[in-house]
Amino acid sequence: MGALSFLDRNHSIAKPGFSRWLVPPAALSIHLAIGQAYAFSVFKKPLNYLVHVSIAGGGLKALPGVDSPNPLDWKFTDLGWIFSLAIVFLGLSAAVFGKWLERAGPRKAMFASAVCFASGFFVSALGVQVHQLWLIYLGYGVIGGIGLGIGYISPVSTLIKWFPDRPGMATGMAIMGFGGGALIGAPLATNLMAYFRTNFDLGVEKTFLVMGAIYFVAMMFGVFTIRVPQAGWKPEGWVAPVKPKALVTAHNVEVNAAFGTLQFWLLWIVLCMNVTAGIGILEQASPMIQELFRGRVTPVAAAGFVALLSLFNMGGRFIWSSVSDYIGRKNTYYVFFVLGAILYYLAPRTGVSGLNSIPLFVIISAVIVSMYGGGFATVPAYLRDLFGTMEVGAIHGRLLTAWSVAGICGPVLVNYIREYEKNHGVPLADSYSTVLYVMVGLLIVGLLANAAVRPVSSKYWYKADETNKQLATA
Amino acid sequence: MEDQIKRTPVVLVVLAWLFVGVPWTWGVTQLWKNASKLFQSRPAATSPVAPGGTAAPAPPAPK
Repeated sequence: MGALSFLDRNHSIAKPGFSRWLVPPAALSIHLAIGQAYAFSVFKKPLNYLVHVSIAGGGLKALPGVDSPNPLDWKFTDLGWIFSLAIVFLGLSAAVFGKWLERAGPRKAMFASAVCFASGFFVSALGVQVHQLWLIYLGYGVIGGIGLGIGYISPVSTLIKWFPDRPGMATGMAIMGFGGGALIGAPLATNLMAYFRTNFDLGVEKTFLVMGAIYFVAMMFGVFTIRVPQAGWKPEGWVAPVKPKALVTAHNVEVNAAFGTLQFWLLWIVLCMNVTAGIGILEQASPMIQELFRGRVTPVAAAGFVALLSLFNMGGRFIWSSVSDYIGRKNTYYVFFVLGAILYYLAPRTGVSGLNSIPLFVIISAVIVSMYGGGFATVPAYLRDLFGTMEVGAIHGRLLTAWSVAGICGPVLVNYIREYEKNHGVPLADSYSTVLYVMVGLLIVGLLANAAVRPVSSKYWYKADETNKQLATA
Repeated sequence: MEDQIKRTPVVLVVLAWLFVGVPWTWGVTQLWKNASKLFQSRPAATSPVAPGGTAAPAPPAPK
């Protein structure tokens, strides 16, 4: 393992004079790569027609727009499991490998993430070659999903240590990258498939191979650039506040101890409610705007609306987390829940049966989605405030299980309520009102959980911290 | 002592940001092209709601 010793934490300690502004691009190179997962849907239709096109020819023109025209082709519903598996393994691996990451350091974790994420593409390419769906489940879903989880949490604690003066902004930058990864991944995949496409091949296999290689190289930029600060390092001229804010601790809590605190579970609820509510509108954005303004919004315009929401999802991650450095994390989440509840309540009233205002609906949706992204980006700094920097990456990893739960609950809740309303004769446009009012309820639960957050009791503090302080005093 | 510290050249920091910034800007440009369709789309005539609250069918997408 000597050749890989440069990955060790000891070899990634920054020398004096190293610019901390090299760390955000290193983190972004990882998050922009793994954020491609959000763009996986561009592969679904081509994967749905592989056999059909290989027999009938005609390239994309042969796609008749129905599910699996050839009996040997994979079903659309079966293909949906690829992304779901990836997100499940993201949550699981972030929770499981978080503690290892704190020990091994960000460079080794980023390398592991790059290897897994790229391998996921290569195994999936093999799956396309031999037309075995289980290989794509294993490749992109399981192996790639593990790469997503390790990659997602790998730069978080390092960024917080480099930016003790602006932890919200620093983690917001990286997590904004995850939101922005699809912006690169979608057109990249589309262009590559167009390049490799022939009459009898949609170019998916070659696209997987090339994307695996491109993302591996891009992520290696992060591996080589990332540095951890020396112990006790702080920005020039920055002095830690003498009287820190009530919720900002100067102590550390170990990940297993944090897992047993009420604060961890309150934040778990806060994140889960915020994400569930956000997914509620993201999942249904396109049909919602078309049905609320029936006859006034075309499917093409609705696609534009979804794209606009992606921009606000991404921008909200940076803006809200940066704002949290000034107004505090707890207050930021108060804004998400109070403003969010008001906007969710108002959204159905902008439809044709109410104010009939498309611009107002677009503005409300954009603010809601910005707060959804902001919730993701602000939570690492909230964890750091409560549990210290020592194992914040590992604690963040465990908290991400809230995302996995919300990823299942949000869409299920929305679809179930809509189906129930439809079956009971409620017009489609009105069925969204109930969905959005339920979201208001979820946000109120989140608001109460946030209100209950208090500083962590001293009995959970990492004991070595206390011993060191006593020795220093002596 | 301060003179012996080797500081990261600014050009290196700029290059690192360009490495992630250029593809990102390209992605944002592509997305903005899609998002602008929301504003370019031809709206149907106003008040398409028929008596009784039944909405008129959506017009075909512009070609």
